[in-house]
Amino acid sequence: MKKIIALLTLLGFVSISLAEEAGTEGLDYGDYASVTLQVKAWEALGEGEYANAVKFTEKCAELYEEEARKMQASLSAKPSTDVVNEYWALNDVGTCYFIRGEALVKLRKKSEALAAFKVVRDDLYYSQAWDPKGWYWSPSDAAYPKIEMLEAQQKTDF
Amino acid sequence: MNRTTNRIKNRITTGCVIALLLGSCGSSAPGDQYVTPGSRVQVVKQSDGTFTLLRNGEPYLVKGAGTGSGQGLGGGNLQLLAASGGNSVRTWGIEQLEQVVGGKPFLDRAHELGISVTAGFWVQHVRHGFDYSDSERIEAQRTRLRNAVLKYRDHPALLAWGLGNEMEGFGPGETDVRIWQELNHLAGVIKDLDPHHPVMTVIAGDSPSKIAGILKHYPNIDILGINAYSGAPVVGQNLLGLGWNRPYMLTEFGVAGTWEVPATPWDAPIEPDPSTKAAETYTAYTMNRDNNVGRSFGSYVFFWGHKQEATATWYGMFLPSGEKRARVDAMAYAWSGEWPENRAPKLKSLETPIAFKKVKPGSNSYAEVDCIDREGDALSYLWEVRAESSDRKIGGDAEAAPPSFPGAISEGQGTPRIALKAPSLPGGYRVFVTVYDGQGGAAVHNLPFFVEN
Repeated sequence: MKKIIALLTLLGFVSISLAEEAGTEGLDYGDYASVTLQVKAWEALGEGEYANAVKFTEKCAELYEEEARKMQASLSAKPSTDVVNEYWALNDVGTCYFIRGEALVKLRKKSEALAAFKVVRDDLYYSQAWDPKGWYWSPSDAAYPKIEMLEAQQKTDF
Repeated sequence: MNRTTNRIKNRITTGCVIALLLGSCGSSAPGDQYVTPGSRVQVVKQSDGTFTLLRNGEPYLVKGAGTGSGQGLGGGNLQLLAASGGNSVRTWGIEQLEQVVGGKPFLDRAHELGISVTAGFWVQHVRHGFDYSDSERIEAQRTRLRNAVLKYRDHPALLAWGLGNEMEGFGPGETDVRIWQELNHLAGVIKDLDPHHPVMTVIAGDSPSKIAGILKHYPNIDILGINAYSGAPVVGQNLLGLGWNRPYMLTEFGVAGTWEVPATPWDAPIEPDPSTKAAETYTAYTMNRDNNVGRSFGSYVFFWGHKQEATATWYGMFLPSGEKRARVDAMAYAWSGEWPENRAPKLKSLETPIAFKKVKPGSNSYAEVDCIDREGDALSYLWEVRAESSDRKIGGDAEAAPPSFPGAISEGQGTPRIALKAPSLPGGYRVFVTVYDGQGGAAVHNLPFFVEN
């Protein structure tokens, strides 16, 4: 009897582990391009699929953060709009960190959200995001008040 | 009693004697109806290049709120603003000054409470049909302005003239230089008639083309008002980058705008929870105050009342029935450094498995709220399912409230958990919960869902 229980327990662990793995790997990352991952992260955020939004951003960072940091290091000012697309990795990874922060706030993981926003503000501060309404915005500028807000929430009971 | 009070008393007496001789003391004739002396407000440039707003000779930091007619404004709300440490309100249209609040005319009631008023004068919008090539309409607007200035310039509650609100339009190409030129003319009219109150014009956001247009065509402006939401905390920094190193005020701020947050696939903006809204509002206020000393003259939080805009709960800081919400408490803390004795309930979570999802008509589900009251007040609960707004506008234009579907609450009304039955008509909906503490405080939140065959 004890052996059966142990076996069932083991099977239980295996199935949970497989399910978690499927949750991670079951996502459709499309062509794995940085822009695809960024768009999918936005979509997941808008659909309330916050855990998936985080996963898309993680994948984007895993594949492109090194390149993004190189691009950031090569700059001494925010690129003008005529050359902004040349910094595709910086833009997509910076935006993904911003989305990651937003999603983690929704998941009530505020310390992790704060860390994500700080990457945008402190490390990838020349990234820019395209708004379909017709302009670029700065994830770093947008992250700055989020950081202030999360830090205020840590200190104060709102 | 100090020297200033004595001086005011003397001036009141002298003013009244002269007025009595003229037979007008206490009359409502424009320009001489107020027996107390008008306020004197100046923008002063300091030797280090910074600016100070002086009201009756004293430095004045605006701790204000925007408020409006018929939208939850009551004597109690103005009183609560003063009790919370606020010192000013901003209006949009001059007719708001004719409202009776707490049994008195708006300006008198504000003055009685120690609240100053930035009196908004509504400059007509092109998107509402105003035509800057129509000289008759331009002249009519100028005449209305002259009459308003003559009528209210001597009121002691008056802080500044709010000349126009977002009249410039929103997108690239919508900014017509004739608007800035006409504002410059109108500001000149005000200055001729009332040299004692600065002119502020309020624009939507801090876009480069707007700032460039004002710098070039509108030299008469004293204070630039910026309405900003997500970007509010960094407006001061942005303005400097755009070459605006003169005074400004944050004239609308608070929560992220409906256009600035993630939306569902059916384009329903996802409303932040009450604690996040309160923290966001507090942060915008403190960042603007602390990072822009000598350029920012303060701010007006949006909106000290209630308002349907995308949802009934997005921007308003009160319920229609008058209960205050968490953002009122956050502003009290920001303005005074103290939390009020009774705080609005704290909504910790609102959950339903159908949030952000598509469900079949008539399908069953549930919703549950976790809310606490810091003072231990007994909480009561009101649930509602409303259709997603189909009357979305821009620029804060009036929107109709969407219909309610009481039949969707199949069990548990009045409790923290309800059984939900999706409406039969396909479309977007939101489930709302309002939690009351019975002491004048409330928390409200909502989650969207979609019904599809």
